[in-house]
Amino acid sequence: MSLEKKLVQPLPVRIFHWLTATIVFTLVLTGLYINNPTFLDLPLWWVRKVHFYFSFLFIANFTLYTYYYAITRKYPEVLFMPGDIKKMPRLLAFEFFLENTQPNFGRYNPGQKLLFTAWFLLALVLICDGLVLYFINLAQNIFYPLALVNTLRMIIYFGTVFFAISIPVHIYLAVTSDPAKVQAMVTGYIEQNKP
Amino acid sequence: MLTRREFLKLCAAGASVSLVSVLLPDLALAAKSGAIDKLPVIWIELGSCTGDSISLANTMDPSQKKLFSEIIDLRYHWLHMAAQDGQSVKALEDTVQRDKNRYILVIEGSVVTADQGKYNYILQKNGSLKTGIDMLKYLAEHARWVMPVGSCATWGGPAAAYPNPAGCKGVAEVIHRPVINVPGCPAHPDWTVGTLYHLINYGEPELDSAYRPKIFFGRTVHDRCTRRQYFENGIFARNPGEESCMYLLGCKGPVTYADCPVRQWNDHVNWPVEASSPCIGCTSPEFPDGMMPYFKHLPDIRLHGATAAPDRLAKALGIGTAVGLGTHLAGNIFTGRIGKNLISGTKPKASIVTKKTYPAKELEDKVDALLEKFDNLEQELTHARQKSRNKKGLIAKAKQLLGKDSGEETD
Ligand code: HEM
Ligand code: SF4
Repeated sequence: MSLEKKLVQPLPVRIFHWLTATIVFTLVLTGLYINNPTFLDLPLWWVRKVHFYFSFLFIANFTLYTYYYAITRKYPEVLFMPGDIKKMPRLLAFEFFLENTQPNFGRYNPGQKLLFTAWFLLALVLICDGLVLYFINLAQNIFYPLALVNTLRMIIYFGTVFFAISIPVHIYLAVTSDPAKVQAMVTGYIEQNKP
Repeated sequence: MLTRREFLKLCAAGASVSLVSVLLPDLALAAKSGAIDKLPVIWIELGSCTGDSISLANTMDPSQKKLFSEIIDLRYHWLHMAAQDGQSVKALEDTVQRDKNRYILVIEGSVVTADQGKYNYILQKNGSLKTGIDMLKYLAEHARWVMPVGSCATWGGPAAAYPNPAGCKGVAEVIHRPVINVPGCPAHPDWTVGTLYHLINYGEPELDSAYRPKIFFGRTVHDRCTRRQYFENGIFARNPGEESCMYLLGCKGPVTYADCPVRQWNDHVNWPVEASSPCIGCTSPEFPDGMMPYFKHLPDIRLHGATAAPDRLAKALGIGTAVGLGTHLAGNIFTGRIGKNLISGTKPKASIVTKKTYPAKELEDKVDALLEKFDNLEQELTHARQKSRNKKGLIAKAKQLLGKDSGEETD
C-alpha cells in the first residue's frame, strides 16, 4: 500500500488557528486578572493595556478568519450543521466507550463542530460586550440594554469561564485521540495509506 | 440669565461650589425680570423613604425656600406644604384643571403595584383613599413633563429589591409615556434642581437610553474618580477605610454613570470613595439587586430562590470539567485506547481523510444493493446460456433433418 500526503489544514487556517489560540489565551488571562487583580502583583494599567491591544487583534483576526471560511465556502466543515445531529449518537457512543472503533467523520467530528460553533457565537458576544465596556461613555446612549453595564460584565465573565474550561477539553481530546491531526495543524498535512 | 451652553459647561465641570448656589441667584433674577415662566410643580411620593426630599433639603445656600418660592411654583408636596388634608388636595386638583399640560410632575418612590396598589395610599379625595398608582396615572396624563426622582421612582430601586412582595416598579414601566429619570439613592440636589432648571429654561435635556440627563449621568464614576491613580497602579484597599482604590471591595464606579467625584455631596464636602467606601452604583437601573453584594465585584446570581456567587459557580464549573476530563482519561487508559492512539501517534493510518465516507448502515445498504444486482445479473446470464443452448440444439436438429433429406436425394 502506498502513502499519500493529504493537505488538511491550508496555511491561512494554520495561521488563524495559532493566532486565535495566542490571543484568546492572553485575553482570558488578562481578563481574569482584571476581574480579580490579586494573583500577581502587576500595575493594572499595564494588564488593561495588553488586554485592549489583544482585543483589537482578536477582532481583526476573527473578522478575517470568518471571511476566509465564508469565501472558501468551507464553513460547513467547521460549523455544526443540521445534518450533524444524526451523527452525534455514534460519536457519543465512542466517547463514552460504548463502541470501540473510532467513527470516521472526515475533517472534524460533530462534537468538535459544536464546540467551534459555540466559540464562534461566544466570540461575537464578547466582541460586542468588550466594545461596550471599551466605549463605555458612548454605548449607554445607543440602546437601553447597553446601559446595564454590570450585567454585561457578568456576561463577559461567564464567557471567559466558558473559554477557560472548554479550551483544555479541546486540547485534551485533540492530543489523546489523534496526534496526527494535531501535527496537521502545524505542517498542514496528514500522511495516510492510499485508500 | 445663563445661556444653555454656559449652563451645560457649568454642569459638566461639576463646579467646586454647589450647582444650586450658582444657579439660583441667576434664576431668581430671571424670574423677577419675567424672563422665565415659573412652572407649576407637583411632587408626589409613592413607595419610598423620603430620602430624595431630604436630599433636596440639603442645599445650604441658597435655601430650599428660595427654590420653592422664587424658582418653581410648588403646588403640592406632602412634606413641605403648609396646607393640609382637603385644602392640599384642592390645590393639587386646581393645578391639574388650570395648568393642564403645563405642570411638571415629580415622583419620588416606587410604584406599588401588588393588590391594585393598596399597600400605598397617598391621599384622600372626596372621602375615599387614593393609591399611589392611581394618582400617578391620573397626574401623569395631564403633565407636561414627568420626572421620576431617585432610584425607586426611576427603576424600582431598593423598594423593588428581591423578593419585592409589594410588586414595586419604576414609573416608566407603569405609565408608558416619556420620562426624564433623575436616579440616585438619594438623588443629588444638584441633579434634581439642575434638571428642573433645564426643563424650565431650555426644555428637555439630552437623555441617554435610560432617560437620564447626560449632563449629570454621561460619564462613569470611575472615569473621574479621585482615587483613579491607585487603580491604575494596582494599589487596592483590602478593608474599608484604607486610602486607596476600592475596586477589590466591590466598587461599582466602573459600571455606574454619575458625576459624584466632581460634584461631591453635602455641599461639596465629600463623596463615598473619598470616605474610603466603595461606590454602590445607586444611579444604575440594575441597582440594588444587580449591584449586590455591594462589597463583591460581581452580583450574585439568583435562580428560583437559590443564590450563587459568580466566582463560586465558575470554580464549580471548572472542577466539574476537570473531573469529567479525569474520568475520560481513566476510561482512555483502562480501555487501552490512549496507548494505541499515542503509540501510533502521527504514523500513517488507514485513510483518515477520504473523499466520501459512509456510515455503516449506508454501506450495508449499498453492499446489499450490489449483491442484489449481482444476483440479477447471474440469473440473466443463466437465462441467456439456457437460451443459447436451446438455440444450438435447434440448429443441430435442423442440420440433422436437412442432412437426412439431402442423403435421400443423392441416393
Ligand atoms: C476572547 C475574548 C475576550 C475575553 C475572554 C475577555 C475577557 C474579559 C474579562 C474576564 C474581563 C473582566 C470583566 C470584569 O470586570 O469582571 C474583561 C474586561 C474588559 N474587556 Fe475583555 N475579553 C475579551 C474580548 C474583549 C474585546 C474584543 C474587547 C474590546 C475592546 C474587550 C474589552 C474589555 C474591556 C474594556 C474591559 C473592562 C476593563 C476594565 O474594566 O478595566 N475585551 N474582558
Ligand atoms: S475607587 Fe472605584 S471608582 Fe475609584 S478608581 Fe477605584 S474602582 Fe474606580
